[in-house]
Amino acid sequence: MNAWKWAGLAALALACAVIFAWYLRPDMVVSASNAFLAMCGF
Amino acid sequence: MILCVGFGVRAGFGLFLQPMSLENGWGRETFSFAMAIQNLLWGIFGPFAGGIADRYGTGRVVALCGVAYVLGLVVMALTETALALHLGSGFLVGLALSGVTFATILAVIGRVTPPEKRSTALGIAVAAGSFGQFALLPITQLLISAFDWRVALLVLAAIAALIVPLAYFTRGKAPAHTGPQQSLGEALHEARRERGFHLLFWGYFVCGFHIAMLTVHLPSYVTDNGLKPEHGMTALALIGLCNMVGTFAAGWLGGRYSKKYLLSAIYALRALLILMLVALPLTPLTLYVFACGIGFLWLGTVPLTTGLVGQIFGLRYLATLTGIVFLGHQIGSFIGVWLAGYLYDQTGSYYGALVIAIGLGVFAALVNLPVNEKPIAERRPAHAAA
Repeated sequence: MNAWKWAGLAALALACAVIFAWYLRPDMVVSASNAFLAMCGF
Repeated sequence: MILCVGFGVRAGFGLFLQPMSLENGWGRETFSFAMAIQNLLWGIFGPFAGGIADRYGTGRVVALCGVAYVLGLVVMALTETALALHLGSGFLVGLALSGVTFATILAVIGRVTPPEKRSTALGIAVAAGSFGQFALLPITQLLISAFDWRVALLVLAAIAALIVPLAYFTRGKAPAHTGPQQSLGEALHEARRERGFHLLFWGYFVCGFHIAMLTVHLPSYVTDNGLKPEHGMTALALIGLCNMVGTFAAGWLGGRYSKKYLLSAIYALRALLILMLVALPLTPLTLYVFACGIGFLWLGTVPLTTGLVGQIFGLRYLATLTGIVFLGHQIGSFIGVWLAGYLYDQTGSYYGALVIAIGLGVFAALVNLPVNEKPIAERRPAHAAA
């Protein structure tokens, strides 16, 4: 693992943390809970 | 990148249920039916897309399916009738997914990586698809909130259009490195006679059953047991997050240890986690532990199953053969979603469906054990000598 790979991994982890936080927004909860119910698979 | 876009764009489709149904005056079943068509056609077209990719080259299939993806999204954006929705979201996107997802793309990954790095590479590719799903769902939500559903779909169409130029990098087909030259028909005949192929099919069936059932019904199970919708949403986000790590780990481990034992362990652990969900009182803590655990085991089956099919049958017809096995996954998805809903309507609880999911987890853990991991090409001389 060189410095670039560590930096990329850190950026990915940060992006995931931001996205995860977005999932916890109240509007996300209402719309996505209904949306998942409509999905018939993954 | 193709997996990231292919899976990511589709992941947010469910978010269009409410705005599209509201504006066009549809019931929930109209949109759900389009999604059911999409999932079923994704599975049914898979072996054919794989067959064409194996015979004529992957790049053409991916490019054509990328165009179908864009067309499907544009038709969805312009739709005012249920028929147009079924054509766009159901037929065109279902067709597109068969060519831009696991079977075709993982076959390319398989053939461009050396054997010792193949499993890890498959794990990274599937993790990229998982990241696409995880990331594009909130972005889709943001687009619908900021503009409207039609604009959001057109933006997604522009994102999906990236698949077409990216298809250039997937061109070519795998040469038959080992054993005699084989036609597609002979490869299919060989797979049909191999017990391990059938066992992997049924293992994947269980994978689809678990994943689709939990994705669709977990939020309801959470609220039925007295928790808030926020807890269900957090659980699904945790699943998405841990899935990326777990998928990569499964691929990495698959390069070092027996893939069939890893698959068996994944299914057994899933059964154990679902048993924990049923047996323990549901609190936010137990739910989140379950979500992290099941998320870690979520799509780890994909690099392992694909890697095992390639290991046993070789790379020449990998897209076709994994397309057939993936059909089992999609049938399992369909039955998992339907059966859990049906049993809930009959009994007023998810208990029956979860018990079946535990039983199927044990079944899948057992059926992977007799799979012969030795490449068929290496078995031929022994057969010939006998």
